[in-house]
Amino acid sequence: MSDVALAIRDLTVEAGPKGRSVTLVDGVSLSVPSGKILALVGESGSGKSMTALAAMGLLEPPVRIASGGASLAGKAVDPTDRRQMRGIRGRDMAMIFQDPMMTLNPVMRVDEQVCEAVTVHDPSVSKAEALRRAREALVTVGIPAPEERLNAYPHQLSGGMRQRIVIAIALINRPAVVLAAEPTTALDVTTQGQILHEVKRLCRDTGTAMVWITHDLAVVASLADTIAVMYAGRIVEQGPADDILARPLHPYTRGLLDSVPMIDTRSERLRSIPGMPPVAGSITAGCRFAPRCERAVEACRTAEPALAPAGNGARLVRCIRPLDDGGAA
Amino acid sequence: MTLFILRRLLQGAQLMIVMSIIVFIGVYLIGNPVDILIHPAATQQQKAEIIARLGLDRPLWEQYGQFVMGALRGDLGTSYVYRVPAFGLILKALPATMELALSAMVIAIVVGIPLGLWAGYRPHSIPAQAITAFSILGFSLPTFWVGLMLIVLFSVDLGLAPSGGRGATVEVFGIPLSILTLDGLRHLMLPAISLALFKIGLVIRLTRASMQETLRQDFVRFARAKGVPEHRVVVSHVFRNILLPIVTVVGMEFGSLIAFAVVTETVFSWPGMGKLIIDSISVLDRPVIVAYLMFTAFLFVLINLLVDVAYSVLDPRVRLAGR
Amino acid sequence: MALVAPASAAAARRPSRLERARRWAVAFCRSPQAALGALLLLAVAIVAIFAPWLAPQDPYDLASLDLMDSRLRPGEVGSGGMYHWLGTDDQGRDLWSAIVHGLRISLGIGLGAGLIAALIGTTVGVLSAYWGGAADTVIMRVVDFQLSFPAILIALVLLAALGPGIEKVIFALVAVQWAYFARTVRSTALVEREKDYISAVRSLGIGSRRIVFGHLVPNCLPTVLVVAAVQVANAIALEATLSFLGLGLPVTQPSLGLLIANGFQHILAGRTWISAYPGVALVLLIVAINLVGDRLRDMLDPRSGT
Repeated sequence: MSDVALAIRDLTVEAGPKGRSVTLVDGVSLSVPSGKILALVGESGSGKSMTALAAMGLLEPPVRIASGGASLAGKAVDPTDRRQMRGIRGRDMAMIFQDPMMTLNPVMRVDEQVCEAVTVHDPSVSKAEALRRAREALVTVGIPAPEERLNAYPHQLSGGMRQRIVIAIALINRPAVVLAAEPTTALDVTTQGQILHEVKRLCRDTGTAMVWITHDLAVVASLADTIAVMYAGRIVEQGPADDILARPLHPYTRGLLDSVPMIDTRSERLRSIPGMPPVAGSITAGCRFAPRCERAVEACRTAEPALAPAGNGARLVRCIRPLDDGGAA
Repeated sequence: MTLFILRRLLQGAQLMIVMSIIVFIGVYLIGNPVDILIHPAATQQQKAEIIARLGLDRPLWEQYGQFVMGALRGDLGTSYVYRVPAFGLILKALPATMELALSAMVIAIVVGIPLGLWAGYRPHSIPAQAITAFSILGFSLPTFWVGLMLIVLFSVDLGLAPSGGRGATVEVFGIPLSILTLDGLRHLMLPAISLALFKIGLVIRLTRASMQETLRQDFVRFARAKGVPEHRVVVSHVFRNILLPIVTVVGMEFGSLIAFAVVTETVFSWPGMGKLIIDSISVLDRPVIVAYLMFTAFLFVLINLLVDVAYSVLDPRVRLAGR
Repeated sequence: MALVAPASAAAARRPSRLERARRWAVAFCRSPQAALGALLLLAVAIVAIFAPWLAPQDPYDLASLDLMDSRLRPGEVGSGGMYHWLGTDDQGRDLWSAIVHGLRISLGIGLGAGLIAALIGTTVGVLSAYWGGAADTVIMRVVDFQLSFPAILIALVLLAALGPGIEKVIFALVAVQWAYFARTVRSTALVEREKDYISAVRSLGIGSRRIVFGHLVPNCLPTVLVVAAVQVANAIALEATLSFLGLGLPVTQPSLGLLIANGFQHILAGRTWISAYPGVALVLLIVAINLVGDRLRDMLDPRSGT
């Protein structure tokens, strides 16, 4: 898999007036190959959602992209170019949001909302043709009796059904990549499982890449091919999912794993990471995780480590004292 | 749905009964009409005759009973001054008031909604701040003074519009209307604008707030993520969501437009119900006052009912839940 | 007393009352419109309080008026050598003096009516929320009934029945406005009542009167303040309107509305200043209160969240 669906390079997102601005995302680079799923993991406020919104060109003032670029299926795109992004969004690059109850317009019927995704990118498509594709898209995401769902208003459908429709809308134009911002956290566990399974199958079948933004490592384990862990606007660890879950290198990743109940790990006790993540704008010199890190030494507080290759080379970690033994204490 | 309307009708009827009692007792307290109606030189006997003829010597509850019986037949008494049925006087003045209030409402909507949308879309831009400031001003300017200043500017200084009266009217289905003649339109212009100004401020603030709130919703973001162009996001996603609450509030406000027409009609000598009631209060023409209040109360009940029904018919969420 | 001691110890560690007031004022003035409104309001209040010293003429002293001076244009000098920079009305009254005194009356009536309505409405609203049940239902029915009719219509009927006079105008305004306070305060008090500390206070065996007036009422005060700002502005506008219609104040106590009404008949003759300037004063007063009120709502109402 060498064809990269989405690549983000050195993305920096800021908010606030020039000169006194606060950095929310700091030099983040990511890439996802077609048909693969990248999990972007972090606590709320780590900048993971901002990264996705920035890539979509959906940031709203006062938040803005300070620097960085992206490429989509090999072609360079400029997320700050409104005109260009308008044509790309929903066609080459789609996004799914967290709460399906809020994602669909409550006063528009489902058919109109699905068809709209087709017709805004190709006005020549007839209404009948758009409807036919809408039905097809609903069937693809596993919705029985699509005709009935299309005629409904969103409030008449269950949360799981709505999220399936949202996914159908995101996939209807066969985008190169879908950015999903915690799309299953608002659903019950059974529905969540079904949808995760469905999404994984769809990515494999259609070759669509996916960036799955979440704070839930349990979801990541069953879904992702690669993982990028974000902390305070920075990527602190990156690599193949199985490796990272089995053998985290960064103490923060270790902390995240310890705080998640997982059946298949050896860890018996649940631990939370002490302290709170830094507030944007109050970041000091040194490693951003140092104040909460058990392994921190003096050097951690003076200079911020670079994101450097580790292990067999497929992994990257931003730590001068990584857990090379996999953290098995 | 039918049950809902029936229940609302019943509530309306209750409201009318309570209103009739309050109005009747309230108006009974207003001065003694006999002193005004009867010539000071009249003898005691003449006075007593008139009092008896008007039924003013009976106990209050009996007068109320008669009033209710009459009201049910559409008879709200005879004007002491004009010596014609009070209800007829009100009905004759109704078209003028309705024309004025409706014009003001249309102006408020046509001017207020676009300005509010704009102010809510880019709340930090200079025009948006100007619009917001204007809406506070519209809120703060007393209707009657705005009317006077419009007269000063357009009638006295510029001579563009007449300062009072209805101008030439055309009868449509027997209802005289000013808006269809050029002269009438010139007469209608100033009072309608002055009555609308307060509501423009209201509509702007309401639209602006709903716009800002709706823009923050995920479905707007999702529409953008689908690639929907910005103008379509505003028109077909945001606007469709906020239209209904705006229409509801504006509909509810129609009653207050009719009430405030009292002031505007006085300023512009507009021959509507409002001017009639002020004139009647100054000469203590009780039956007309009672008829006006009862009729206005009825209009309010009717408006609220219509708005409620319209809301439940138009909103898919309410409509389908009720089935 | 043991209960109170830790609280006062905590208060001692907090910045002083003066310091907190200063910080609050700084936060308030962060909005330029609000700062402008506050400044304007302060100026109007000073003018209203010191009216007798600021007005060159006593507008109520008919002996000092000279009909020869009637309807002088702004800037003209009257027979007594007095410079009328806003002109005079048809009685030969210096308009500036009349406005200054009228401002005093308008502001006084607005504040008076607003205060009484706030007192009554808050009491009723808090009690309604505290009692709940049938009493609450009945009270809210009355409130809803009243609020379904525009304020001006109710005031109009009341004043038509009562006749003109300051105390009657205030009565009519209070009768119209208490319901707004009652409705808003009730919903705030309902939220407050369900909070843990009220049940804690109850479990201490503190009487219902202390709960209502010692705990519920103080916690509703920010809401009351916000409603009061709006209602005082409304009361002033309503009084002016009623006086303009001839249903408000008697001619001997000219409020701004009456001054405007007096000028009405001269407008078509081109003598527009008699109505215009009192109106400007009225608008400045109402705008100032509304600007301040807007800011208060932004700062005190957690729901507006700006």
